[in-house]
Amino acid sequence: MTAVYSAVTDLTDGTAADQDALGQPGAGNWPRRAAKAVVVSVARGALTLVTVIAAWYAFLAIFHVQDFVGKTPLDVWRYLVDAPAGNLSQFYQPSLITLRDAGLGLAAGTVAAVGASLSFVLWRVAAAVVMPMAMVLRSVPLVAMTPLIVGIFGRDLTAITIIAALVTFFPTLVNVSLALRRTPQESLDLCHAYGATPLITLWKVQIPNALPALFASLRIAAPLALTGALLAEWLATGQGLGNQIITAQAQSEYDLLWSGVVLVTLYSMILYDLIGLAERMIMRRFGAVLTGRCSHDDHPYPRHQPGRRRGRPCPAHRRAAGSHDDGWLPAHRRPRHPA
Amino acid sequence: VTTIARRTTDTAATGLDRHRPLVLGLSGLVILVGVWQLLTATVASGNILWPTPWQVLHGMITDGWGFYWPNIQTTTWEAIQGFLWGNLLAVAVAVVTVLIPLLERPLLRLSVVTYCLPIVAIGPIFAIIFSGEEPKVALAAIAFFFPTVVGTVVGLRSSDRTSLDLIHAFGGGSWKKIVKVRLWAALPSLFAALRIAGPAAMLGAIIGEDLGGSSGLGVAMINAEQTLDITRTWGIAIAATVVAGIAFGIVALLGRLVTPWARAAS
Repeated sequence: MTAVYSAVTDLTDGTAADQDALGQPGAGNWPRRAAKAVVVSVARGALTLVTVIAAWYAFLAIFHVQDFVGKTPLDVWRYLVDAPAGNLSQFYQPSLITLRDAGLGLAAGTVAAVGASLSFVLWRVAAAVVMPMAMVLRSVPLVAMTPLIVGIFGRDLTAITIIAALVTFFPTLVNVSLALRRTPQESLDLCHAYGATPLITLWKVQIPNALPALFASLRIAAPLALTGALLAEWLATGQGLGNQIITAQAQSEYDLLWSGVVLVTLYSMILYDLIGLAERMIMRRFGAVLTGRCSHDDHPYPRHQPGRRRGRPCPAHRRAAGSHDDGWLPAHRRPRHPA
Repeated sequence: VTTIARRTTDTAATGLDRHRPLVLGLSGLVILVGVWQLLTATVASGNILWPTPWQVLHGMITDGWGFYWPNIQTTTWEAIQGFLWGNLLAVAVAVVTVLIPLLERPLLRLSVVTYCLPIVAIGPIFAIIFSGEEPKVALAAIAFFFPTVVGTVVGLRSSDRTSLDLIHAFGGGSWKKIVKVRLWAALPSLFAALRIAGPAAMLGAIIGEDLGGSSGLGVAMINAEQTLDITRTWGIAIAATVVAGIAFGIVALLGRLVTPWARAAS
């Protein structure tokens, strides 16, 4: 499953173009690269927007939804922006509350999961005792336990944070500890041979090795944390967007309902993409950890230079195929001459 | 030499004592119940919101099969329908992305949007658009759409290059490649995704029932909570957990039977 999730990164963003644009180390040509990055991300956003709007209209048409109940993107736009009263402002306070709840939950859940995974590496028995249970609990409808958590911890911020954190805790724990365990044996042997303590091995080898999995789990967890926060707001506190959406449904205010859903989805996607951006920026610092996919048979290979991810064979296959790659690089990508 | 020795002893140990993981895993469960019992006996003693494990177990036995079985049946049936529809659609989308590269990016972005759409938010919309058990089925289906798409696409892409070349050499097109090679190569990764799809479908169905319905685990849970029957709320939560665990187990077992060549990883 971890493999499936870490592939999310490869599949859903990081076109060759914006990898090139964002990923070039060194200072040269930055205005050009920045411009390229901006153009690429604007184009990508526009593409997403067009797809979503088309799917939205298609959904309404396929299921023959009545106009009174089903609002089109145009209706939502009119309600939010064009209306004289300025309906956007009533979402301001609830949005802040929901984002705070989700953010706290995501942070708490991730910190706890990473802490637990690290202690599992150093203390194997704990992993053997806890991990099977974590595997089972990961698949439990934890959100369905909201009433119980509210019963124990009350109806304040603690309960909401715990609910949103629980939802994010188990996927992150499972993904990160599996990634920590999957460190190449050769690297561990090397550390062992040099007499490194387990702590140093963890810091120098295992943690950098698990970073991709951590980021994959973070972006998987971000929408989950938002779901947890919404559910907690609906069932426990009666504040925030979660409560606003449910109230709108109960009072048949369908414009309000659809607009709320659009805003929540927007936040979720922005969070998801922001984590992706942070991921790419941080992974640049760990050049050697980056992997590409060889176009020859799609195996991963380490890339020391950030660059195109797909559509290019790894060095070994390039040599084996005796391909036409003569090592030519465009001027801005050529390595600097050493003095 | 030390490493080799260590590795050998490791394998020897696991070979000798194959049941060790099971024992340790079960001891985790025992510790959890023990901590629960300890907390209710000390810190939360007398707290009506925090029943002991034995009270919950007693409550479950008192309510009995006659109370749980109809609710479990309703929820499971909704989850199964959602599971079938959602996975069918997800696999179809994944196949289309491989068949028509031009559609790959829009379709994958759309899948990400469905993932970012919190089911708590889309639930009310489904509730007003659909009727009967349809909103629950739709929620169950959307809950795992994205993981299945990603799992299938990854699987379809990971197919053996030589086999694809072979089909190509015999004059087969992309459709033949998908039917003869790619779908088979995708099975292990698809089953990895399906394993979490089962429990996710249960969650979608339960949230759909929370939003309105006449029977099912979600409805029973809301009722129990509103009548302040905390022991029964715990019982229903545990029942939901057990059903989700069984769903996970069935898909995992099926995956092992259908794809015996896949490594039993993660």
